[in-house]
Amino acid sequence: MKNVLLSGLLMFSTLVMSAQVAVKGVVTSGDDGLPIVAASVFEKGTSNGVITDPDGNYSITVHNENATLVFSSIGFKTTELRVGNRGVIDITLEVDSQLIDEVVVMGYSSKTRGEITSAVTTVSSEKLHDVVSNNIGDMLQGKVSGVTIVKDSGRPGASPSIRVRGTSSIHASQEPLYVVDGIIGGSYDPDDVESVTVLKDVGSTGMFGAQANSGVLVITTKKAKSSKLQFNFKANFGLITPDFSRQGLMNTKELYTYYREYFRDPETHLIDDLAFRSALPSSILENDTDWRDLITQNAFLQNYHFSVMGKKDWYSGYLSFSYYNEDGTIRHTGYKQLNVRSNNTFNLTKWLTLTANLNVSGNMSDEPDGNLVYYVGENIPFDSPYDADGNLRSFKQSKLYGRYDVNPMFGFESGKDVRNSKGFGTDLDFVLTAKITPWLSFVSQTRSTVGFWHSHYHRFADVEYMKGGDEIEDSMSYSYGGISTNMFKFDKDFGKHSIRGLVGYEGQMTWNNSLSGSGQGLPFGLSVLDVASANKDAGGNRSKSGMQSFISEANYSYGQRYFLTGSFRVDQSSTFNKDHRTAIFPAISAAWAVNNEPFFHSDVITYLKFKASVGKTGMKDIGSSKYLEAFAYSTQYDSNSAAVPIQMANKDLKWEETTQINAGLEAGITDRISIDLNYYNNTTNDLLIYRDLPPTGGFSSQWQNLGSVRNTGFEFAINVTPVKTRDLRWDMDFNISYNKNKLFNFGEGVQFIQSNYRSLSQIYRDGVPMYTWYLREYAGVDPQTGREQFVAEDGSLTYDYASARFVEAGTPIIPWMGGVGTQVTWKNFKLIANGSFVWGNTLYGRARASRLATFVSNSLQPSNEDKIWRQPGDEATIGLPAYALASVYHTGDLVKGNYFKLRNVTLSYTLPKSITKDTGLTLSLSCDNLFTGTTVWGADPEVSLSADSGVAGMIESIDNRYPNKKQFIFQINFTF
Amino acid sequence: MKNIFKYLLITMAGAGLMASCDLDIAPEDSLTGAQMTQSPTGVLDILNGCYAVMKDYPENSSSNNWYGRQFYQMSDFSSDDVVYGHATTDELNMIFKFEERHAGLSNVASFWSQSYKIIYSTNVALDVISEDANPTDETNSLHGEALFLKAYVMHSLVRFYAKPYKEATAANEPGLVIRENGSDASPKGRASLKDTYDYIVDCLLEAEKLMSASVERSESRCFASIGAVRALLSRVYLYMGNWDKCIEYSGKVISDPSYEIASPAEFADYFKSTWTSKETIWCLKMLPQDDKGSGSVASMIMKADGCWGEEGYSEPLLEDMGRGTSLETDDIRWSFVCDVNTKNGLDLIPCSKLSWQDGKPTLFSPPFLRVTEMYLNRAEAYAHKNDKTNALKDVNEVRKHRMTANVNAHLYTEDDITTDIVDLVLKETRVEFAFEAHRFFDLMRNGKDIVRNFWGYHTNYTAGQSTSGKPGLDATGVFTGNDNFRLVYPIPSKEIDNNPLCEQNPGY
Repeated sequence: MKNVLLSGLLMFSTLVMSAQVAVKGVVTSGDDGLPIVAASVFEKGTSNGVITDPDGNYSITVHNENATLVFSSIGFKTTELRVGNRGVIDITLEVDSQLIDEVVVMGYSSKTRGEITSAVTTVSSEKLHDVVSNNIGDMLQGKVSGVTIVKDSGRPGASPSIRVRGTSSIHASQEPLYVVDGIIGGSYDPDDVESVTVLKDVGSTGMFGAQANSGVLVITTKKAKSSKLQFNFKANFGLITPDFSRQGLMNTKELYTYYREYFRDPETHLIDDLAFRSALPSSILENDTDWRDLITQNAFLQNYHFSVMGKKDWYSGYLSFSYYNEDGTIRHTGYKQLNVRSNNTFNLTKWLTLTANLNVSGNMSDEPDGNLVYYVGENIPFDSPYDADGNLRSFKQSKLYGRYDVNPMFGFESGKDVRNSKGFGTDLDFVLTAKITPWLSFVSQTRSTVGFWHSHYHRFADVEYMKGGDEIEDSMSYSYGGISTNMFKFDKDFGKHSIRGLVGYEGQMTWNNSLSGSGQGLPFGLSVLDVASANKDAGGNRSKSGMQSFISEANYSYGQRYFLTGSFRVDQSSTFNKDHRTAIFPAISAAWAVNNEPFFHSDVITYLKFKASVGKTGMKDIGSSKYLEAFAYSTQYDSNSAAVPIQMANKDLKWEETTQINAGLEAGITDRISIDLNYYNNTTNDLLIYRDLPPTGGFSSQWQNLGSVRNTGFEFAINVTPVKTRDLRWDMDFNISYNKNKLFNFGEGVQFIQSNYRSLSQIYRDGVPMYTWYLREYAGVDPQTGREQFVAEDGSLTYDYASARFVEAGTPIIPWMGGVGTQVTWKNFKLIANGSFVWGNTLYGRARASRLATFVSNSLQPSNEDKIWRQPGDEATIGLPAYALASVYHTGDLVKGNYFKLRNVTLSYTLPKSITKDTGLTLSLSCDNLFTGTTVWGADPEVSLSADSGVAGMIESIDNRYPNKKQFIFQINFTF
Repeated sequence: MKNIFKYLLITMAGAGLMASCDLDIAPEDSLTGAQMTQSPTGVLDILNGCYAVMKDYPENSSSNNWYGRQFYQMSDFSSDDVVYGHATTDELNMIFKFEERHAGLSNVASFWSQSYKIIYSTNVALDVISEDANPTDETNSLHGEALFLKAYVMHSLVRFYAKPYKEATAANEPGLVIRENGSDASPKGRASLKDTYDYIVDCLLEAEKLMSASVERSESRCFASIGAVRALLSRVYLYMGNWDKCIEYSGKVISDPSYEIASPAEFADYFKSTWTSKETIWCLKMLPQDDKGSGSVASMIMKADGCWGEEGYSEPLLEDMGRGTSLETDDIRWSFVCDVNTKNGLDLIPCSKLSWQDGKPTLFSPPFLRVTEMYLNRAEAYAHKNDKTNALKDVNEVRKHRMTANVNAHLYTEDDITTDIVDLVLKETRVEFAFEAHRFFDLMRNGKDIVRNFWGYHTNYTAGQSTSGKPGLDATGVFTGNDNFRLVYPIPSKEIDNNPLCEQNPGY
């Protein structure tokens, strides 16, 4: 009732005060002179305000001539002007180069750039989307200092592995935590992403406690910015070519010449051409099959994204639809993804806001056989997949030279070898925000997730393959779960003192169910499990895992000069036994904005901030219930239940915890240069290790907490704008980081050596970096005999591999890495280029290892430095084939993993406003992975860092990975 | 009104903060230790698990890393029976190439770990059974089964990782690490070779007593039985040089009506369904879903779908089988010799013995003990006692059951003994058990050298030679003296690194 009276009164007063003034004008950018869209224009001290249209136009009616207009827009300095008697006010807003008011989403809360006390890097939508991909990882490569992103497959739909500030865990998961729109976990389409914030130190990751050992990626999806309904349509068309890097295979002539070396007598050093010709008649030179060429193709990519957004006083919404379709460079492979997102915010009352976000995504993937690239690499060019009549040739019946009897063309030609997978997932977020008092609010956020996954594989009997017979296999799994966070948030200023913070509870639970079936005996043309007539087998499993947490954070600041943040989190996880289930993760961080001090005056240094943080994070991702003694029933004997002791109890198993220290500074020099420098020292204690035991006790390994690892390093990022005029602007970014990894606390004399691939081993002990190679010492080819030599225990040379000594020889962990980028804008043209580099790590290249040991497979082309031993006195890198050793692992096969990759070059053109009027149209051409320079021969230098599936830093003999790719993309981006 | 909502919300929020979830979550595909001892079928399941580990190894599951494969390869590929036809980066390379053997080999380590996994399982079962104050016949039989499995696995281990048993020196040679019960897991040294053998014999003698009552389970040839216990005793006594005991236990099995040496017609198809034949005392049953494909035992020696076919019959084995004589047509054991397979100008002769269960080239249920071995064990024991008549009688009993024609012409008389009656018995064992993991052990325990003077990648100089060429006797890999340290496998470095009390075999 009161309100009605009040508004009536207001209406009356409006009628009485008739001295209103109408003002209009254009808001433009001081940067490039272009109009600023959606800048806000407010009458100071009132709620009277408007927003500029796409041409920067506004018109507003103010109370009187004494009114002051406030012009503001994100990224620009806020400007105030008295209206006076002007009816038209055109204004140019100056760019705020330090972006200190930019809001950075930190997960549970948001902060302005100026308030941040920790090492945080934000990558905007614009910077992300020069690369076209279905995942964010590809888009971040080389753009964030201290973050290693490695992709060891060019398979459509494959995502890279990401390491924040080195490798801190031996056997637990090392992927960073993803937080989408403030809630842990979640899915999204990269085109819907507004920004990605990488939280690197404990000052910000401490809030995520037990899940934050490997850093946090905070992803924010798009929201409406203006009241105007805005449509955007973006289309990408691309051509993709396979990129085998420096991995050339021999053709018939090269291989034939190479094989001839096998017939060199070790005593006379002469080649027995008679024996050679009888084994390999020169008639085989008639065939020259490029097997790799037969299975690869230039592929096509298409990607469409359509979105609409807008807001009113009670509602703000964003709706998008995207479709991504990438054909693989290996024939008959590909990836399709469909994504729908709907972000909705309702202002229910003045104090209650409801946000409901829905993301629905589905994908389909056609995959190659896991060994296809390998088989094709080993197949010999003397053999042809076709017979004289041009029909596919059976390798089983005919005498061939290759080893594997695999004619991969069978599966291709008839489409009879099919493997695909389908995934479907929805995320539904509900966020309720209630303002209880002006300084206290309650936020309840819940995400429910449902995921479904299905993979299918079948091969018909007439497809030739190593593994004989036909097969069909279907696996399905679904998972559901939820995470709910309920918290009170407070925010209050007392003069120059400001206090903000939150306290709350979080619970999460996930359930997984899987079901699979397989069989054989498929009738012609049919490929469902029901029709399999033989050997039907079924499997299924169920699991769940959960965690609950207490979370809290407090921020204090004084006069925009001193900032202090403290967080405190308690986590309980189902991974551990009751007694070790709870862990406490405190963190504290502080910053000092020197440039805001009254005593600080400088025209050169416009911005200077020091920051430091210390605190703890944890890790638990080793799978559930690893502390229990377990007898597995996953097998049978003669159709009877069979229990196999699979896990040894360790009631003392506990959290892996990292104590992190970070110190850094941010500086701005004029408005042209900005610098971000950080030093960190992270110590992870009680490493979760799947440790070797003496097998005679019944178990080969057990989960234990043992030893510590320290990652120390620095990160340096600089952005420079050498040229900034109305028509031309040139920006350069450069970042470099250094990481040193060292194990300790294992104890005197304690070392353990792990061989996850045959006898290729890595050592763990005090004082060495993680994954240090532990191999027999190689001493080159003996110039006198052509035999490979090793160093024996006493330092003497020996031909006897088995008696060679072991040495520690480098690590695949990357010490130096970084990225470089540049952007030139000239009128409506923009040219972007960026690349990334890695330097100083050591990889094991099996590419070299089996070079001449086998006589039945194709070989890599030797590098320029390689030389085959032919006669006494030859300084050679490849020994006499007669003496070649197979299945040996020594230091001679280690290679430096250095590389530089030009990730992306993009040229774009935005049509002038004079043509497009109310709309915006940008056309661009881009190329991904244009160039790779590397010290690695015979394989792509981006090698997996993951130790859980195989060996970190190992390259296969013939690289059997899906080849990386080059992309050439044409993009249309239309806004209306 | 609004305030009510507000307070309601705050209350709800408060409730949310207090809520907690149950975080005691057990895996759903496994039983915990406590659950296992309470389960009525616990012991049975654990014993079934022992057999299962011989075909699946859940800890590190892979089709080419399983007990049976490593067992056959570590044994036969070290003998003079098999040609290494194509160099491979698979570590089976070092089974052939003695001089490259080292303690880090993953296949040698897997066999060790898998064996001790089984020993641990039997110990867990034995611990549970020992709590039973009034055991039934069934429980006693399971008790015996556990002891048998432990003894079998230990005997297989000791044959690879220790020197052959010599009565005079056995007390001073290292044998195995003996694990006595389920909680015996801390670092421990190796018992002497004598103590190891005594321990194995004690287990078997106790099992023989426990299994005297007949129970349904041990009627299946897929499980242990009193016959299997006695057959293993025959073998163990033979390895110990205790000829009389060997003769006694071989006789016990031979006279058991459950077993009967297969006729030539049966033998031709015997390996396709070993568990159905009276020839079998105990086999490891492989179901079609257990087919290991290219990782199977047959894969390396057979040329068919799913097989690598990179190994084959050696010259001297074919010689002993009577190549070029009427035996090629008369001896049913020639039916496993396949046509020549040529690749890159190199000829190999594949073997189909371990194939064709359910029509699959790579499916096979290995008979770990079969009755023919009892005849040949007894024959060898008699031979060592220089009882030529009885030795020949047993050898001829075997030959009678292998000849499809001209049986009498192929029987041995004393005139056929050219050097030593033991050699004649060993020749028959070689032919009978070719590719069945006997030859290497037979040579080792009889003090014979390994002579591989035939073409193959076990020599260093191979590629340029034709398959018909023989390397000189001094070529690397051709002649290996019986006392060469590399013929005893190294204790895996995983054990040595984590069990400081465990002694490495000399030389490594």
